[in-house]
Amino acid sequence: MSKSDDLLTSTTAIVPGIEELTGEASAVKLRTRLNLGERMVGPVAGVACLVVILILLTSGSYLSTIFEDILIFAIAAMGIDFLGGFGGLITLGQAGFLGVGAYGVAIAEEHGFTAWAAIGISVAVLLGLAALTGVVAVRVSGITFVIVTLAIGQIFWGLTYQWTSLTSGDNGISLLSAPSIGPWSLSNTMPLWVTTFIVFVVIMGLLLLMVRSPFGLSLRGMKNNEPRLRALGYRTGIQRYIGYVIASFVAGLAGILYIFSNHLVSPASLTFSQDGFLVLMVIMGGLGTIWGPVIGAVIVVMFQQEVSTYISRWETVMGIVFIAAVIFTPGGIADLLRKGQLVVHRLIVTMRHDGGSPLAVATASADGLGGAARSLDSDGPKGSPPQSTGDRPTTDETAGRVQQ
Amino acid sequence: MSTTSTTEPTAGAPALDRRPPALELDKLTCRFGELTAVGNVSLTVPEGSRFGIIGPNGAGKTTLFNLLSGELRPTSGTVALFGKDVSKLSPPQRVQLGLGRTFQVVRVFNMLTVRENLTLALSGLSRSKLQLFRPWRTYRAQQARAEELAASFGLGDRLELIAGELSHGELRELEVMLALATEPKVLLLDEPAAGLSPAERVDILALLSRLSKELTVVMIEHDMQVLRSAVDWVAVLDHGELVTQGPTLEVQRHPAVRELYLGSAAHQGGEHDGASA
Repeated sequence: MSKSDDLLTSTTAIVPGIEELTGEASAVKLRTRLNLGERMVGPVAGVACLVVILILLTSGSYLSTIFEDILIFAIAAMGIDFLGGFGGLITLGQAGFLGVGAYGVAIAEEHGFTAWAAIGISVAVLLGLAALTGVVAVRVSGITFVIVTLAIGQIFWGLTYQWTSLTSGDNGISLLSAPSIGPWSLSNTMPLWVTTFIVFVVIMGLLLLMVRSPFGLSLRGMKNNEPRLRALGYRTGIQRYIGYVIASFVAGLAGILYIFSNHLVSPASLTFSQDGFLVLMVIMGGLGTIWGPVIGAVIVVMFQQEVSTYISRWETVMGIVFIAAVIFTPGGIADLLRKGQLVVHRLIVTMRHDGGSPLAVATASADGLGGAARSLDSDGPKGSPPQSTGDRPTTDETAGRVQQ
Repeated sequence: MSTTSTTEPTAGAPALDRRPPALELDKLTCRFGELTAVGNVSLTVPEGSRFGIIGPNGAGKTTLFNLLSGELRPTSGTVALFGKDVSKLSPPQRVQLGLGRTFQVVRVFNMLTVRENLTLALSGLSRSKLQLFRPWRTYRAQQARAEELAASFGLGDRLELIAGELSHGELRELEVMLALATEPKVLLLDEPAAGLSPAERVDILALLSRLSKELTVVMIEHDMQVLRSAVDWVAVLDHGELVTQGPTLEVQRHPAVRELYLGSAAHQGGEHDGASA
């Protein structure tokens, strides 16, 4: 703490411009710049994903299966993030709806429907069940909501396990046929791949749009202060209901893709540990970002598929990684990236103000790191701001708070 | 009720107009187990009046407000808003009917920016609040209204700040702004000047005096100075019951009020100067 203060004082002494930089006007300027920078994180991550995908597309089908899994679970996890990260309602029923989507297709095909009709039936069943269970789920909030959604998910799991005439119980149901348009059939690797990716991008785009809509803002308001929102004329039950139906529906869509990728669905896909993995993806990746859970999905699926081939107790390792992540970066990897970006940003600003003096750059970056480390324990009382002007929020505080 | 010296409660507005009063409380009672927080309170608040509610701590003032805004349901008795019984309606439903309120302990969205706070308040009564596929920032008219509102309260340069970083006085102003953004016909203010510095108190008084004359304002306030300049009719509560009501100056001189109110004020070191008026 005091060390970074010292560093800052020295920076101020060395770099004449930095004083002016932290003044009233430039504080605002810095904020908007950071905002813009942050907005770039999503697209950059998206492009990076795309490049990796294109490389992998040309390689074997094993890797493409991993990437299908990542995308499918990322879709379901983004649904959790939408409702949890913005509305403050964590759902543990997501795997249940993923199962409904997958079983919906498989059961309909088993009863003689074509693949396209089966998808339609599955979507209808999904919407119906989400709408129905939503009536129960949104009557409660907080921890009770978590438990109720868990119960709903477990009811679906119980049904798949015990309603053997419909679901074949423990054995699960195999996919009979995949939909196709002309030569473009989801039973082939490449089309399935591209379709999954397109659905993923569309859902991510829609969720990002919804987060910025008046409805998304009201979700954030609900998370922040629900009684106040009610006192402004919002019937928050409706907000919660719509959010729940959207999250559940998104999970179901992931389930429909899942059956075409996996060719088999069994009660194992609906178990509580599946819910746990999904929530893990969201928390590791970064709650309240939409794109964070995608990174979480990459990590968790890699553990499941890759690490497990080398270490039989991979779940223990993942548990340790998870605990470390929660301790060292409570905001998830998304938050870590944001802080890294801040350090880089400061470096650039300092270089610009000093014509690139190596000493100034070094101290500035050290201060940036110190600031990032300090704001890790941001739940505690804020220390004295490192900048000389004390009445404005410090830049690292600002970075932590802007645009969740 | 027995000690009431002035019993005609319509002094604020001329009695000629036959429109129903803005608020009418009929034998409103709220019990928590054995405790009667509000007992048998009947009040009439005429449209356009400036109505003050005073009483010592624990007199049931905030409970009464919660009954009016719908946060609490009465054990018995009714609340009517412009002649319509709203006793069974939820807070958001009452907001739809034109009832806005602020809270004694500031309740704003402290994780959101001032602009986001105001946008939430402004879209509370519009259909756009359930719009899913259009960014809220693109609602130009609404954003212009938010900017105008913030500017009128001197917070025009604070729009992009996180509300949690505002000063206490600014938070109080934001609190009032949020309530006003829902365009209420009746505004309930729960101690709008609590914890403010003298300068900020002057600001908030100026702000209250600028409110539209058609707006009905009901205000809980301890500060006699604020009351004298902001309201023209005062009701006094003690132990959940209505002690008396009347024009501000008369109530101040009322012996029961002096004993109740100034007695407690004297213990606190005579900060309240009601008697010297």
